[in-house]
Amino acid sequence: MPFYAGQQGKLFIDGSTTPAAKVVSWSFTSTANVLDTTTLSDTDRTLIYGVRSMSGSCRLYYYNYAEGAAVKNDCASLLNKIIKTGSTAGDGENAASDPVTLRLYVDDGTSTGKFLDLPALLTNVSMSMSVGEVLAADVSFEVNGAPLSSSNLTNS
Amino acid sequence: MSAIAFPAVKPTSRSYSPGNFPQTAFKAQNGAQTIVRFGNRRVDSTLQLSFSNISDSQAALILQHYEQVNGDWNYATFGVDNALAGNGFEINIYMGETASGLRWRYSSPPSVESVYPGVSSVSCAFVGVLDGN
Repeated sequence: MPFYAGQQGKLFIDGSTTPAAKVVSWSFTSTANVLDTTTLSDTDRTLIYGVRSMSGSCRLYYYNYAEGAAVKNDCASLLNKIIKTGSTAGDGENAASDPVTLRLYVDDGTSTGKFLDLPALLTNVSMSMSVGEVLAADVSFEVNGAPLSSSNLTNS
Repeated sequence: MSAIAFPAVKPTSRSYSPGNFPQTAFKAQNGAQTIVRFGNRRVDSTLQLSFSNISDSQAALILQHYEQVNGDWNYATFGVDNALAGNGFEINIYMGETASGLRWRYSSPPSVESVYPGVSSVSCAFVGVLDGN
């Protein structure tokens, strides 16, 4: 299977062995800053690598499903990472937001698949309810450090 | 007192001022101005160099040069392989202070900013001093 499309995409949350339900999309961006090393006698700009960074986003439908006797909602699980409740109005000291490990997965037909394991901090969650649309959450994240060594998406 | 050549590190930016001639101005109440000149050679030229994103080993060479120049009241010299890189010969006579008799000394310690593992940025400031014999 030389090409991959949305049918082969999955998202795993926090090491779960079952993929998150009703994921519409995921994406990531890897960026490397460069440091300018051009000096006075140079005629062309010279560079060295600086700090790398990764960020990304995903979109999940807000969808309840049964797993055994329990009701699960993977979108709500992600919301719970960043949204924490307080006991009273004006309560400013509440639980900190939680980090999350996301596996961005491509089913390439092998037993392991191809994936990136990203230790991430959710930076933005956006939801809107409107007539004629299914409720979904747009989640943005920043990767905390480098992708985990278990990742194999960059292996040929 | 001896010349200590600046290490072979080319600056990212350079700023030079030729200094001024030693003199004092006196102004009378009627506005008349009298100037007493103390010499016919300029002094206190300045040279500021910045080195962005150089390796830590190059930054260490600059710090080593600072110690060598100040440890025994020596002075710094510059060439086209370091501070005067990219200059024409005519202006290097001034920026290098090769004909004026001025000698470059650090006017303040070099400032080192760590940018990235193994990478630093350094700023140096020099003043041209006319040494008495």
